Amino acid sequence: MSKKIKLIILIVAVFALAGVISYNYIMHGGERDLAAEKTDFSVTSAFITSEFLGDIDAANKKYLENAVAIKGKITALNGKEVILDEAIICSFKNQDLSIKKGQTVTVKGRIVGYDDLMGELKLDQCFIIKN
Amino acid sequence: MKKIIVLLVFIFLGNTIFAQKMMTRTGQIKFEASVPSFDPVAAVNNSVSAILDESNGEFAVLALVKAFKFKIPLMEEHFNENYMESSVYPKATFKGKILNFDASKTSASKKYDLEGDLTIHGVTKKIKTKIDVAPKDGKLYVSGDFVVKNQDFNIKIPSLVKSKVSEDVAISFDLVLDEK
Repeated sequence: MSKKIKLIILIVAVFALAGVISYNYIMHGGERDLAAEKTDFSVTSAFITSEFLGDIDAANKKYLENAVAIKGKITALNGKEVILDEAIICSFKNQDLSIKKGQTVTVKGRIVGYDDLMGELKLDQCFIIKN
Repeated sequence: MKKIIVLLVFIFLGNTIFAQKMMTRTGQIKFEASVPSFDPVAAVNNSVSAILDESNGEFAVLALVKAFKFKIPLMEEHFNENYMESSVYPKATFKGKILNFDASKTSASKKYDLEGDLTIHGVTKKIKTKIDVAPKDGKLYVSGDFVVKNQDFNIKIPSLVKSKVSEDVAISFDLVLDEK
């Protein structure tokens, strides 16, 4: 093979690789993986609820976007939606079939915000870290 | 004893008949600010809360901004950090009234006027729009759509991406209200 052809193949390969990387960056970049992230706060459901009830602005500043582990009792289970102590709504990443209503669990998830219409705290990308 | 039972039955019956608050926490709001031939700028929120007081038509809706999901994570990041500033303004709300709402008359799908205050990005604006209210199996299906302008809510789109994001944002909502 002549040097010229080798060079052309190399250039094409470099461009293809750059294309794949930039496509991946644009389509998937910035995605969070909570399982790999360290837990910023570990709290009980009663504690975090009282903080949002007490001073919502301060609580927003402290918790929003953070990965938080919350311990509480499951009061409702509805597919990917799990409710702890009737006040914390966790949207699970994948449905967890091992948990049951009435169990006390620790859920890790991202704090989405406090819904003051319903008086509920919402989390997403949740999963169980301790049964 | 009999009287007490009758009384109790009436109290419970009364409660179910006059239960006037209809609500949801899994309502859906979609918005789109796409420009033809560019990447679609669209997101959906499936955890919208809403409460309707059937006795007077008072209607309140709340959507957490961070719960809007985009197809492209980077777009979601820019939406939250640069445009909506969702750490400072974590929620978008509507508080208003369905005009001339009469729960007893909603036996079939009906159009109503909805009027009230829409708060996005910390800015409150009066809006008026038409909504559909359809009862089915004891639930109320409330839906509608309207258009807002970014500048009305002080949302600044940098000139660099101005050609890719529409100034008019089409918002649609689908709420299935149920007694709690």
